[in-house]
Amino acid sequence: MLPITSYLFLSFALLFIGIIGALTRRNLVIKLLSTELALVAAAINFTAFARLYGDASGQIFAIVSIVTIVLQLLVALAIVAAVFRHWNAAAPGPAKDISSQRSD
Amino acid sequence: MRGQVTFFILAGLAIFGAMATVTRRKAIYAFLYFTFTLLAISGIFLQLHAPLLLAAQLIVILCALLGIILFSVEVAKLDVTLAAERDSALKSTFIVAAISLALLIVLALLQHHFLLPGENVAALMPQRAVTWPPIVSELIRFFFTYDLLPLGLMLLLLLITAVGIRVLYLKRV
Repeated sequence: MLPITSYLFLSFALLFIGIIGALTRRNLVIKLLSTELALVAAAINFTAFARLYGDASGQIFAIVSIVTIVLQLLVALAIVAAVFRHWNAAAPGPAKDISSQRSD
Repeated sequence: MRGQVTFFILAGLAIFGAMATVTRRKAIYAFLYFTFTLLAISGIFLQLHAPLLLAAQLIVILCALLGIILFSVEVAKLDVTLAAERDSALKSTFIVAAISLALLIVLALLQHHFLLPGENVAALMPQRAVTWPPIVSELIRFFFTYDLLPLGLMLLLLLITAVGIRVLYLKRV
């Protein structure tokens, strides 16, 4: 196995890119994908430490993390699609104005 | 040495895909690069001797591709005929997913008794016993008694989510 620092650097890079994307982009889909990148970084850490210590618990947590990624991705995509259909935009700006735009 | 080279190639591809995901202007391209990143990371999981995670990651990639298709159809605002075709495709997808899920659970429950006596997919799982902490070890022992059960539970959650998305999609805002 490679040194654990290699995996830590990789997961840190993914986490950093994910946080930067979530904070700087306006598109909801790209914000969502950036959050997923941060979760994937956590899964890499769990798996690397599970391999390092020969313990299965890390893999269980990584599986839970990946399941979270799937569910969050699908539900959030459905919400984004609904927002897009209603306001014709994928940016969060128009969705802030929910109270002033009532649907029939 | 070969493992190091493989890791650095996969890590470089993952970081490149992540940066491209964040910097693309169009969401569809961001999705494609995100799928590329997940593919590279699944290689790293395989290198870490976690094939179950590799399988889970492949399911995530499939979901991402499904998201690309659904989102692009939604953005393109195709007409009613195409929407009806998509609805029938979605229904058949649900049926196939439900049947495969049921088969997977039955296989997982029966493999120790009937299907694969003495030789199952335990090789895919970590071999060392977990002793600490006791609650987590009990949980893991429960899950890994039947080797395919975690994957089956994951597929079940995925199916529930897909049904939820279907309800969300049909509900007009």
